[in-house]
Amino acid sequence: MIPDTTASWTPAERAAFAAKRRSRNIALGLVLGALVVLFYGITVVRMAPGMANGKPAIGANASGPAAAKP
Amino acid sequence: MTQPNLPSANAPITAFAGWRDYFALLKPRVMTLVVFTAACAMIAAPGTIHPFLGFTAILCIAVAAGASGALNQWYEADIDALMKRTANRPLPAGKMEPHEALNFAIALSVGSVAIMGLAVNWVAAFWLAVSILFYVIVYTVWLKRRTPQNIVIGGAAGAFPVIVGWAAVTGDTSLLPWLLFSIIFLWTPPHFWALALFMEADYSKAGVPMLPVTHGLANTRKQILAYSALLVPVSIAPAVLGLTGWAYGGTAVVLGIIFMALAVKVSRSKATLAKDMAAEKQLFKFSLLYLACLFGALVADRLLLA
Repeated sequence: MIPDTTASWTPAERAAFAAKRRSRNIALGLVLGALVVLFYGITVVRMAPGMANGKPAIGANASGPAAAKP
Repeated sequence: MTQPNLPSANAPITAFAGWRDYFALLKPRVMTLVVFTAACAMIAAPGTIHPFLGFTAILCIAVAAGASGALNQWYEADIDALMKRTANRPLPAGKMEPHEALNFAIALSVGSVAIMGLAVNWVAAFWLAVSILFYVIVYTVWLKRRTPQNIVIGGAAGAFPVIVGWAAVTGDTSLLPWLLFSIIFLWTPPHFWALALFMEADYSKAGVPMLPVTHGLANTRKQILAYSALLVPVSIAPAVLGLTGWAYGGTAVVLGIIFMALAVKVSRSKATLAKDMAAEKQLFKFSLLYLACLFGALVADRLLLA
């Protein structure tokens, strides 16, 4: 069991600590949300038709399965 | 009551780091320059990149630069505590535990390189990893406390983002990005030594072997002049070699003349007190403007040619 190391803190210190932890948690939440958006965006761009490595693929329309048909 | 992640009973309230402390660990000011030069290289590079992937590349470069800064602060907390300019950083000020800073920095380093590789390309990711390792291992751990030429080596670390930005667009590196690398590499010594001249007392107190501390003010001024004399022709080289147009070439010539004039002024200065070092302060300030205008001209040149 982890001992309570904050017993000597005054109520003001506890309040300051709680406020600091809250702001850090909000910041962490925002960063995680931004990462979700980033990964979603990367996936959409990389998987878009006619894109190879994030760049328009040269001759992409001619090299697909449809183009192989006689 | 049990509460993990709390500081010890005697620790000050500041021992629990807030998000601002983590942000300060990233050296956001240094990040600005890195992002600017990398973005300019990306625009100047031939080829195209999807805007979202371009944004991702810039983000990775910025985060990697921040991670390098955090690793640097983790390693240098002892000397940061001795210098007025750095004593208020999160680690020397006791706002954060060293292991928190280290874990944060490693997570950012690995994350930025991995995302660069998966989202953009692995050539850019490779150079991004090299830039982090170079800054942390070669500069911070190996050379900074051992040689007065530390800033010269540090300049290379600061120049890598140009290579990364270029590689993000083209998938390889050619002569122009390496010339841009050389410009930042040669620009760094006059820029930082001008600062070190009027901050000499601080570095001396911390025991960092900066050139003004180890070789004196006169020698530092000579070296500023020597590196400036190398910087100016290299900055004009892209135009001479036909890799850029007249907009860049003309700007490089004008800026180079001013830079040299200020470097000559510094080389002739005999001031020993920081308050009398007007020429050094002038060169330091102009060096920031110099790099911004030079890379701005590179972008303008590319847009004009397009």
